[in-house]
Amino acid sequence: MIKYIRNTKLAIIGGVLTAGLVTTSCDKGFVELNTNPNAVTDPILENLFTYNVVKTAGTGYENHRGNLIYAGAMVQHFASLTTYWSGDKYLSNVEYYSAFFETAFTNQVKEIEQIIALTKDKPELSNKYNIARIWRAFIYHRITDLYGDIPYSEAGQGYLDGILSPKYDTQETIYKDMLKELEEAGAGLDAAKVSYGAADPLYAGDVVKWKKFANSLMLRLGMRMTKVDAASAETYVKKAIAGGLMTSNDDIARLLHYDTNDNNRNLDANTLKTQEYDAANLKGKANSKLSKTLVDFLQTNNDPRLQYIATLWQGNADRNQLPTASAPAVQKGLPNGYDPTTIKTLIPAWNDNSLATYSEANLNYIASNAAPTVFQSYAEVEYLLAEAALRGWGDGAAATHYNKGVTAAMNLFSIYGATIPAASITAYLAAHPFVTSGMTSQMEQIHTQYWAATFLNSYEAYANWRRTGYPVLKPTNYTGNATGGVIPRRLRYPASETSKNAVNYRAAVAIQGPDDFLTRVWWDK
Amino acid sequence: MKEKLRVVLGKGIIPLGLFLLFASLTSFAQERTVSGRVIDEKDQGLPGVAVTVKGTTKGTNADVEGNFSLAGVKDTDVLVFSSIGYLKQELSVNGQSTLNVKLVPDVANLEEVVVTALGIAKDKKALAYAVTEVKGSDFTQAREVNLGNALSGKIAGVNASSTATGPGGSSRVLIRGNGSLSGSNQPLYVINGVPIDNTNVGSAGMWGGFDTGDGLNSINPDDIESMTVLKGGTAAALYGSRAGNGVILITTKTGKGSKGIGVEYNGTYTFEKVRDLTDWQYLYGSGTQGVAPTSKDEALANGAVSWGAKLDGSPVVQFDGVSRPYSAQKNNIENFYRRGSTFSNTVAISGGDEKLNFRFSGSNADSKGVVPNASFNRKSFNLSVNANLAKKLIFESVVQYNIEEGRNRSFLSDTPKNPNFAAYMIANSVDIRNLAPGVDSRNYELLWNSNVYAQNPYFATDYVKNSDDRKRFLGSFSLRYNLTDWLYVRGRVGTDLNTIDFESIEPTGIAYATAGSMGTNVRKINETNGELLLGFTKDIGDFSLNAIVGGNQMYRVNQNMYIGGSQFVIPFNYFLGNLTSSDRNIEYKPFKINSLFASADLSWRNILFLTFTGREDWFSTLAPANNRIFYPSVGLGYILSDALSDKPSWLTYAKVRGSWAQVGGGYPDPYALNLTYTLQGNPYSSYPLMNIGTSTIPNQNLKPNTSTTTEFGIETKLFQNRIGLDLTYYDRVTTNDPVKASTSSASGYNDVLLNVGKVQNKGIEILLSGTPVKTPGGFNWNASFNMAYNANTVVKIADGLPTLSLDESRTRNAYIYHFEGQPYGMIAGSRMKRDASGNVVYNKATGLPVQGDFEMLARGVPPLTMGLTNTVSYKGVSLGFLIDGKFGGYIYSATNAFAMSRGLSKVTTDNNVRETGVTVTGVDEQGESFTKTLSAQDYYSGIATTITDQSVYKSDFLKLRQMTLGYSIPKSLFGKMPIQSVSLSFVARNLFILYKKVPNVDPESTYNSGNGQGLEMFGVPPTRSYGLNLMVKF
Repeated sequence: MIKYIRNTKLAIIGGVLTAGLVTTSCDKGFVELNTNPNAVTDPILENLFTYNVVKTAGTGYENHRGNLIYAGAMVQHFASLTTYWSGDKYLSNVEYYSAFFETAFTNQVKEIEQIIALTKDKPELSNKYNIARIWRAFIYHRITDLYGDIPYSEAGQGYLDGILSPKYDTQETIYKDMLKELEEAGAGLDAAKVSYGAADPLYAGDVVKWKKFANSLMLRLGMRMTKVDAASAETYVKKAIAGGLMTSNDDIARLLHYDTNDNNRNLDANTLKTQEYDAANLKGKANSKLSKTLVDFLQTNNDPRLQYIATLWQGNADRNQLPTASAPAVQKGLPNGYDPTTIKTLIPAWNDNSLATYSEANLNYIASNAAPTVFQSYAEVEYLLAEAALRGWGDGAAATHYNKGVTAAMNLFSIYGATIPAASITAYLAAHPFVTSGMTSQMEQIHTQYWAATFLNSYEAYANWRRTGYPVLKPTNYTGNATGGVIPRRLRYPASETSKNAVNYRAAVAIQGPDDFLTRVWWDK
Repeated sequence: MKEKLRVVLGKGIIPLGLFLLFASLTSFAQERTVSGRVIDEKDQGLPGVAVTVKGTTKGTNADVEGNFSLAGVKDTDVLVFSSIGYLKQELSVNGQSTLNVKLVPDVANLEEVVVTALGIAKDKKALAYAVTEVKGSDFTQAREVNLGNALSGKIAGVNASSTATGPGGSSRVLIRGNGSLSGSNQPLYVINGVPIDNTNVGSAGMWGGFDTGDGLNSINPDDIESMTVLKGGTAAALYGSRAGNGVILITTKTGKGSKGIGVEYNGTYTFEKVRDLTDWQYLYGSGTQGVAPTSKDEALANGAVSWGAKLDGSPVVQFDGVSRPYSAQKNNIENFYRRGSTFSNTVAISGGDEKLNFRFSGSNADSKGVVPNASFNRKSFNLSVNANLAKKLIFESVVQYNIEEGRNRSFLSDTPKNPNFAAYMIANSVDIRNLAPGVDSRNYELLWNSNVYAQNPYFATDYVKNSDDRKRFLGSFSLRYNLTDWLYVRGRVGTDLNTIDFESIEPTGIAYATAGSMGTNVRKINETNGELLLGFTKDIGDFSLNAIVGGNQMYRVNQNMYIGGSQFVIPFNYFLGNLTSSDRNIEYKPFKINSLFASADLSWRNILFLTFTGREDWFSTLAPANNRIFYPSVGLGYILSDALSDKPSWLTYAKVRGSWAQVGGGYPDPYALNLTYTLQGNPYSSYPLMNIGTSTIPNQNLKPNTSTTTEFGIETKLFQNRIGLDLTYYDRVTTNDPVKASTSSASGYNDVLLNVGKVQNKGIEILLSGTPVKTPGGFNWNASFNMAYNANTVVKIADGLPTLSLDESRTRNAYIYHFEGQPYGMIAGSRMKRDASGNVVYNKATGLPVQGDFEMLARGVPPLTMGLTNTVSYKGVSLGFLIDGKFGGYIYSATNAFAMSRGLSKVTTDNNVRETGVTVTGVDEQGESFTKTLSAQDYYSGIATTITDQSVYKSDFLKLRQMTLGYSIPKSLFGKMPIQSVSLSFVARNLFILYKKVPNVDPESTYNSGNGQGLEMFGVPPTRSYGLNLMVKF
């Protein structure tokens, strides 16, 4: 009897062990358990697109390092006495020259490629697909302009195609493809079909405006090729004009900002405010200042934009002090390429109080946390049309386009909360009419204005400067610089590419030339 | 009837014939109650001795006086008396009712019974694999707050290292090398049979951060009875997928064998001081290009730059505008750090009888780090209760509750908030104390150099705040029921509940973001294991079989809730509601592993031992199609010495063993299979922002890795135990590793999960122990030397993936990479580029050497580890010391790279280069011969961050790790006081570095305990600690 009970117990326990763990399946509920309750598997295209545009305006990291510290200082919008402002002195800072490349691919390319994959070959989503293609061209053109040959045809495919080490495409191939994309995508837009609607922060789903942007971008890219392939440049400039360009400041490609959090702020501005100026703390002894080149240009020409671009630190510290702090007469730009010791060779009277008397970007207007990020402005389009007219590729007179450009550039300040009176603009144009003394001076005049109109969009200012050579910038030759005292022609590839994508990196260097600051990108040859 | 049978081993055994005679007279298959007393070699009652009927599970334990009583014993039964540290003895009952036994110490093997997988105690001689047991007392004298650090140098094949972070940091413990390419390589920790969490909940990386410790920090050394290291696959095989890196079993103290109520006190007070290992140049001071600052701005620009003029004592303006003598400040490190201390106290009460026993301990360990304001406090309460609930029902439980508080842990690596940067890099003509109090009149950070990210060290320690508060409950409850004499069932539930609150504040006025910011996290890591097993024990003729079959369910949830943001509305008020903008994030990651397992231990005549185990695991984090894996093992042990018919007299003991096992590890985290999208906490305007929620490319086909270990070993004891040798050879191959491989950022992602790779760890472990001197007068010298060499090769990564990135230095020119065919974790980077004839290639524009291609430079993980322990004792006095060392590895020292670029390294003044400049000769990029003279500053600051191998050094070291001088006060001194024993020790840790190659820093200085070892940057300097330990038993 006892034995019987023992055996029964045994059977029960054995049963619990085996039945409990085998027959009721050892992986029951596992799939549900491994599904993230705080994420979704089905993307919402609109929300992805909004994210993509917001992050293309920047995450703050690459704005600081790529747009401001390198490009912004190399084109002499900014200047600094420190050595970490590498672009001011042509120093090599691996982290800073890597920043835009690494961030652009992982924060801009990643999602736009996903959107394209999700919308491709779906006729009902054709507008979303085509808008994404236009935006993709925008994203890539900034990367290739800065670095030259880059991964393009295989880029952003880590998940979609399993490509972990994308090959590099030549800039020529990339440009041809981007232009083809802009052409096809612009033509494919259909006002009758659904778009991104209000979630589209550029044009609220207005495909007509998207088409104008596609053509305006085509104009920018087409014109970029003037040095290396004038024929293609002409073809695409003409196509762009024929397709219809931006016609007013209502058409500009821009992202509005709100000073609430980093998903809404203008992060170029916020970087200047929090990481460079911190006016109340530094009392004007900031690590970066406006460049003498920029301030002198605006000041000597009595440019009405000056007070909205520049201020002494007091204006940034306290808005009430703006009237005196941003008065044009007191603005002063810092020469590029010096440190606190060497500046004394240029300005013998320099002392510890000097730096505070130099201008900073005006955080109340153009560099406000709520100032829109301008990806491409109507003024830029008019300046390029002025050049097209000079080359005989466009319609109308160069002078007309120049005047429209200057007018648009000044009127644009309304988006920064500034009103430049029409009379001031008229007066400016009267004082600085379009020159008639030949292509060289005309180009200089147009592109110096282009350079002034792309303040804070240094990626574009730097690219256009490299193509045109205007304005003529005086290089510096700071000790230990990486170029022998020549303004860099590109940024170096990130160190991560030399190791994580070594084979393709070496192949690219073999084609493009040494991975240094002086090797010219394809369109800059 | 009062028969007494007294058996005294060594003096004579009652002749067998007589024995049989008795047996024939009295054995009439009756059941009776047998009682008696067990005494030790000193004729004292031996408490707690297990008395069992041979071949059954029937048994009892002797009480505190050694008396036992066991009912239902048949006349033909044989009683087995066993106790740890004593030779097992068997006695036939032969119809007697009283059996008195004297046990003799097991001189051949004092650690005869060891705790093995699933908490099952086994005779060590029966094991077919290498295990090492360390007694709790080894950790309690010269203690480290983190147990992992205390393992350093103690066990052959265990490579323990700590982070350069101060008290309460994490440790990295490796058993037999690194097996997983990118997954965890640390062992599973099991306390009283229950796996515990050892997650490193916060660590520093290339971008800085701080180490908030790991799960091992919660263990109070005073509670440890023993620690068993299951090194190989076979030893750990019953843990299946969790055993790939070995298992460390910790058994905590219980009240078993208490004599009434006992009270124990253990207190240690130690203080520690930093050791300044820097050897900077003190010829030229702050400044640039040979010029001293002439203004406050210039002084600020050169606050951490020592490229100035010759130090001449003349007044030179400094960062604060004050002029001070331009002379060397050699004691900045000693002047900045404070004297640290650790005061730990443990009181334990234990008691009980044969039915129930308990032990309760409470402890408080309070550490103040050498970094001002850094501290760690641990309070732990541990209760062990064991009870024989009914005749066949045994209940065992341990619960532990911990309250741990980390405050202001030092930031490491990158400069933001890192006080160590200034301590190392401040210009050599500036006294760091002038940077105090770290703030200006508005309580904003006082700037000392032009890089706002390089914090004022006093601001970093006194104003920047971080805290972590951990509440932890560990519980283990088991119930065993003996179904029959040979069969039992045991159920066990174990749980580890961790809640950690983090807060970090970047205060108002911090130079790089004066509006400030803060963040809070609540992290919960909870793991529960339920286990049920059926055990079988039976002798059949010459054979005896021990078998178990059972199942386990593991359920772990890792949760994290974050709220933080930036810009305080009201300055200097640090609470979440005061933030201008805030952000939130939530993570919830559940994970289950269900398992079935079985094992069988078969022995023949106690000479030959055969072990089989098998375990099948089902994983919730794998795709259904491939979510189950089987893990087998087999082992064989042979006691050579017992098998020899004419054993030579010098051979006390000899055993050979061999085993083979397949275990696993590195299973993926939850949600690694599919691409998911997440919403940003803050929308853009009113539009939600959705993005791809991961920077890691997901993979549906992931599996855990498989680690196959083959090992052979010999254990011998010679000349009556005067010499012992334990030798193991192992070959461990890990394949199919789920690797997080870095991808080109142009792929859109930072990394990808792939099952790739084959990593081999082959090695030998030697443990040589002996007693060189032993005199009848009581003078003893015991020495133990352990050494392990682990030859490691990353045999294969994956097709098309010849390298794999693990980590990167903040200098961004040094990396830790795997290279196919090379050892694990190589330091990689660039050398100077050379042409075909070996000439250095220079950049014509700069005159600097061109950075060569990315390549492998040196191995990051030392293959050779060793430790030497010596204990000399005479009467009540004992002196012990531990020397340990690691050899064959290298370290990339970013601190040295910075020192070179900042003009602090001696190389920047050697050969008068400050005056003459550096003349380079070689070729330019076009191959033309090239020569140029650069200033020392241009040259050295130019190469410091591009040419990696300039700052790669051998990380070899030999340290006097530990020293103790103890005195046990004779009991006679206490007279009638209720004191059983008192011992007092002087203890010291990390006394001297006997040998090292890397200048200016500690070769063991590392900022995290991750896989990417071999990188160093601005850690807390090494410290030396001294103290007193008092142990009292009442």
